[in-house]
Formats: sequence, structure tokens, C-alpha cells
Amino acid sequence: MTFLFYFLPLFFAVYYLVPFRFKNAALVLGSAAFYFLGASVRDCLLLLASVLFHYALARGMEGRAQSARKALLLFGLCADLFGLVYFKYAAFLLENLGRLVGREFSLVHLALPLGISFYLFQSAGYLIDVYRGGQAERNLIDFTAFVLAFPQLTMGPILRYDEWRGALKERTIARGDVFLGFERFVAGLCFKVLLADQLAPLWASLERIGYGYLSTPLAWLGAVSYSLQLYFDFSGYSLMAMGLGQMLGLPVPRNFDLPYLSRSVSEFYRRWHITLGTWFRDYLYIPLGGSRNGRARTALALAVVWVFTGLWHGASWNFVLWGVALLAFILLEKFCIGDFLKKHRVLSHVYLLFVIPQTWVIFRITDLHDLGAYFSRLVPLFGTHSAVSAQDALKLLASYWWLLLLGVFFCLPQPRRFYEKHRGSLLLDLPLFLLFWVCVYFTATSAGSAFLYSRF
Amino acid sequence: MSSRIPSLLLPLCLVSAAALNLYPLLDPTGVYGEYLAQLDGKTPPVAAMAAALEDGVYPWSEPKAPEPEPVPDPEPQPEPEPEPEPEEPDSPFTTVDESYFDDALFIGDSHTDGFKDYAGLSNADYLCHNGLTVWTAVEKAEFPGHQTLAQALSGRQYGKIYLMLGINELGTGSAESWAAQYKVLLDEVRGLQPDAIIFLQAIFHTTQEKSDATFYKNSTIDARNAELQKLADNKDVFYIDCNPVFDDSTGALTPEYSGDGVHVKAPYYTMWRDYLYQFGIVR
Repeated sequence: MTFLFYFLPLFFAVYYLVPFRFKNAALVLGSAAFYFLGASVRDCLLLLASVLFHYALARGMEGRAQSARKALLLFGLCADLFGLVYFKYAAFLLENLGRLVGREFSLVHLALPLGISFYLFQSAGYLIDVYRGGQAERNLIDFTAFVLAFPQLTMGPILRYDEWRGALKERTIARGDVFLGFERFVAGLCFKVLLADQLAPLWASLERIGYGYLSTPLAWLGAVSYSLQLYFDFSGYSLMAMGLGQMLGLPVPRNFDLPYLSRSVSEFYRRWHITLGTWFRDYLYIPLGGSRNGRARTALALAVVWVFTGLWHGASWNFVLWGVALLAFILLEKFCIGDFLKKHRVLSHVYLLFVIPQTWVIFRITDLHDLGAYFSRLVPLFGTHSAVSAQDALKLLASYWWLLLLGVFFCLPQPRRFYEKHRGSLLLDLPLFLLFWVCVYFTATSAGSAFLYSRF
Repeated sequence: MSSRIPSLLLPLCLVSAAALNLYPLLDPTGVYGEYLAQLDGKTPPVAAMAAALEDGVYPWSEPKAPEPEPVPDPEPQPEPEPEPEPEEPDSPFTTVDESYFDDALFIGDSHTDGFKDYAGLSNADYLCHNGLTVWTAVEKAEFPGHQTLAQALSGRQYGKIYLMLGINELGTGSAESWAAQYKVLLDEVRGLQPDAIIFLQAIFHTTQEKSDATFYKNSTIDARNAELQKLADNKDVFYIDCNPVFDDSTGALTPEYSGDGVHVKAPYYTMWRDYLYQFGIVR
């Protein structure tokens, strides 16, 4: 609410009023204020250090010999890796190391610095681009604007410097972009507040009942509901970021492309969190050999990518398991059933919609015992606990059926087609206007819920 | 460039945002003062309008006349206790079985909702709503079919009524103001169900982790339970604390029993039921 009614109007008023040469500085200052409001002093210092560090390294590569550039790159990447491991994975590593050698290490649990997974990846990508012959940015303010720009700082999308360089140097902010960008922002807000947040209590009900005591229909209902919730949460956020980028005159790429319409798991991950997938493809998968060096090499590259993708989402075994499960399906598709899926349209959709919700359950439940309990209800091979209420799914469906239907509807291409067709017309704007205030009402009267992806 | 505005959404939102933030500040009808006072400095005034709307207070609502202080009974009724009561038996309670609940009604929040689904007492009646508080139970129509408490209690007369409220409003009010509102609720129930024995069930504890991290604090819960206990007269209003069923040795909810740190998982509701069996009042 503070963001919507104080920060945004104030920021954009200043941003639009200052002459062009100060716009990037205004963006940096505004974004720094935005970050400062949500993060600790330590996080701010860390972010500042990261910006200066990557700026300096990239500048250092300029005009140097190949070996020196390589050394600088490796130094930078090692530092990034160290930063991530130290803040995100130290506790996890120590805990498992302790288990391995049979004694416990005393742990200091560090709070995860806000947005670190996103901005370190973005900055590391920038370093690699410069190493590969891209131009290093000389203007510190422009570079800082690229890392800090508030729409993408804490939750992506992960940007490429090449996409922004031109716009940072020179951009005209068209009137249409301002108005239509806002339209997109409101659409994203509706996804987040009216769909994701409203579906969230359904999963909370499962948690309350206990994962081991769900009826099998409820276990599936929960998986479907969480799949929708996660999608509208993150894609809603991404739409908001895209809209704000448009209002700034800076291109924030599309991060989601109707992923649930995919016909294979590999396709799904080309349409879900696209910028993260692209990052792993360009900076890890292809350097590891990609798919051009035989089956074994491809499988190895995919394995590395998916284990790291899993770990990127969190320092916990369930994320590793999630990555490995996806890897298994992707390998299966690559080497066995890919052609079959291509040929059978309906079956391929059924396959995807059967597999993906189950993988989201792995993604959602961090405790492996709980995860096992949940899967024992999804696939009830061992009978039913006497405490299971056969009516539980019906009871929740009675409250949530219309939200779930609405969610499914917004996974289809028709709403987007309608949106694209009627952008700027009252047919779209009047409903969005009303929904905007419904969002405000819901946000003001609930305790509010953080974005799911802000934890990564 | 044409002068046409590409989309009316932004202007509409800007104008309405300015208006809806100004309106509660100007407050021509005087209904928003108390809502504005509850906002922290970072929250825009429009949040006060939303909060008011949630209470059914609209921009055109007439301000409520300041509520007449509940007139304290002019003369504290001298308790008609002519003779010192005979020596109370150690406990007024007897152990009962399922049939005891044939004429019982459970009123409560999500705890009671779970009890309804998983305790296996299908002979009892239930009025529950997730998120119910001692305030909303009295002021809003939150019972099944959008009924108010009065509507929901106007039909059948019950022999026993079990109340369980308090977890949702731990973040608001004090133990005293909460208990005062509980008293309002209790009086309303009593007025509608004059013959029922009323059981006030203590608020359940949360796990240590939950208690440490959120406003679901066991210290708050204990303070409120202590106030709640004072509402019982041990004649026809009794206080029952079921926490011993689910507590660990430190007095917090046993972590293994709970999926969310607040509620017990499905199979444990029967333990709560069995505990209630020990606290029947048979006349």
C-alpha cells in the first residue's frame, strides 16, 4: 500500500519531471530508497559492494590480454559463488556435513539478503557477457541503474545488460508506454492479489489438516491449487515488473508465456521463469557442451543445470529432489517419449498437467517426511488413515471452486488475446479500474502476504 | 503525436486515488477518525476507508452516536446466597460419553471447525467459521448461511454450548478488552439459550516456534485464558482448559501434533474429544 500510494506516484513524478540526463540517477536513488525500506543495513551494504565489485571487474577486463580477462572473470564468478554459498547455503552444507561425519556443527543461521539470488545472477551474467566481448559500462550510474532498478531488483526478471544499454543511454518515454505500462501493472496486481492470494488459504487448510491425513481427492486438489497459486503469484509479479519497466521506458522482458499450455516438461521450462531458464542455458548449459556433443554429454549438462536450478530455489533437499525429478522427465522426453508427445496432442497436455502439479508439491514441502506423507496421499497405495475425512475435498471445493475455475481460465490464451486486442480501450480499462480498487481493498484488510519468489 | 490519451486507466486511478485518500482525511461525516487513528504513519489514508468498509461503514454512513456506556447495574445485585453452600464436591464434573453431546452445540473458529470434521462427534451441532473472533461473532453475520449469532441460536434450545474463540484476535486488544467482549458474547448466548450449560474452552497454545515468531504468543494466550476463567461462575458457566492434552513439557503445543504451529492435525482431534468426556455436567 505504501508502495502503491506513496512510492510510485512520488517516484514517477520526479522521474518524469527531471531532464533526461538525470533520469538514471533518479532511478538509482528511487530504487535505493525502495530497497532500503525493505532490507537491513547489511543487505544494503552488500548490494552496494556487489555493484561496485562487478563494475570494477568489468572495467578491469577492458583492453587486457585474454589470460588476464579470464583471471578477472574467474575471480568475479568465484566471489559471486562464495557470496551465494556463504549467505544461502552455509547452514545447509554444514548441517549435511555434520550428518556425514556424525557430529553437529553449531550453526549461525544468516538471514538471506534480500534479492541476492537475483542480483548476483544478473551481475554474474553481465561479467560473462563482458568477458565474451561485450562492452563494459563506464558510467557507474548507468550500471547501478541496471542492477538496482526497483521493478526487477528483488525478484527478477533477470536482465541482460545488452537489452538495457541502449535504453539507458538514450530513450524517449512515449506517452503510450506510460499509460499501457500502467495497464499491464494493474493486470499483474490483479493476478497476485485476486487470484494467488485468494487461493493461498486452500493450501493452509491442507497444512492444518496435516499432509498425511488428506483424502486423495484433496491431495490432488491441493496440488492443482498450489500450481495455480504459484503461477499467478510469480507471473503476476513479473507482469507488474514488465509494466513498470514500460513506464520507465526500459525493457523488462516477458518472464512467463502461458506455461500450462505446454506439451512437455522441457517446453514448460522454456515458458516458465523464462529469464532464469535463459540464464542457465547461456551461461551453464551451452558452455558445458549443450546438446551438440552426444547423448552422454547432453545428459551431463542437463543434470548439472537442473541440480543447480533446484538449489537456486533454496538450500534444502526437496529443491534438489525437485530439480532431479524435472531432470528425469526432461531426459525421458529427450531420449524416449519426445516424438510420442509431439504426435499426440491431447495426451501430451494430459501428461504435462499430470506431472507438473506433482513436481510443485515437491517444490512446496521442504520437509522430506511431510513430503513423503503428502505423496502417500496422492498415491494411496498403503490404505487410508482412519482420521481422513472423505468429505474434505468437497468442503474446500465448495468455497474455492469458482476461484479455481477462474484460475484455470486465466491460464488459457483467450484472456491474453482479449487483453492484447483491447489494450487502451474502456472495455478493458473499466474492469481493471474496478479490480484495482478491489485489490486495494483486499490488501488493506488482510495481513498481506509476501511474494512467494521473494524467498529465493 | 495525437492528443488522445492511450488508456484511461492511469488517469482514472490517479484521480480516484487522490479522492479516496483525501476523503477520509476530510472526513465530512466523521466516521473515519477512529480508523485513521489505527493506521501507522506509512499506510495511506485509503486503508482507513477499506477498514471501515469491512465493518460495514460506508462513505455515506451516518456517524454512530457515541455508544452509551453499558450502564452498570445501578446496584450490584447482592448475590442471593442465603446460606453458605454445602461443601462443594472436589469437582463438579462427571465423565460422560458420546450421547451426552446429543443436545450440544459447539461455537468457534477454525479449531472448532477441525473438531467438527475430525473428532467424530456427528451427533452434536456446530456453528463455526474460520477466522471468527469474539468481536465478529457478535457483530457480523458469519455463521453458515450468513446468519448472525442471534439468528443461528434462535431455533433449537441446547443443553450444552461449548465456546472456543480467541486465536484469531490475539494480535488485537488486551486481555481485559478481549474478555470484556467475550462477556458480551457470553451474555448474548445466555439470553438466547437460557437453559444451556455453557463451557468456555481455553484458547489452545501454539508451538514454541510459532509463539516465538508471530503474534500467536503463548504468554498472550495464557493471559487471556486467565481472564476467561474469571467469566465462569461454576454454576452454569464452566471453564475448561484442554491444553494439557496437546502441550509438551514446556507448555507449548507439541510440534509433532501440528502442521501449521497453531492447529492440531486431523487424527489428534479425538484426544480433545476424549478429554471433554471427562468434563460433563450432569444435572
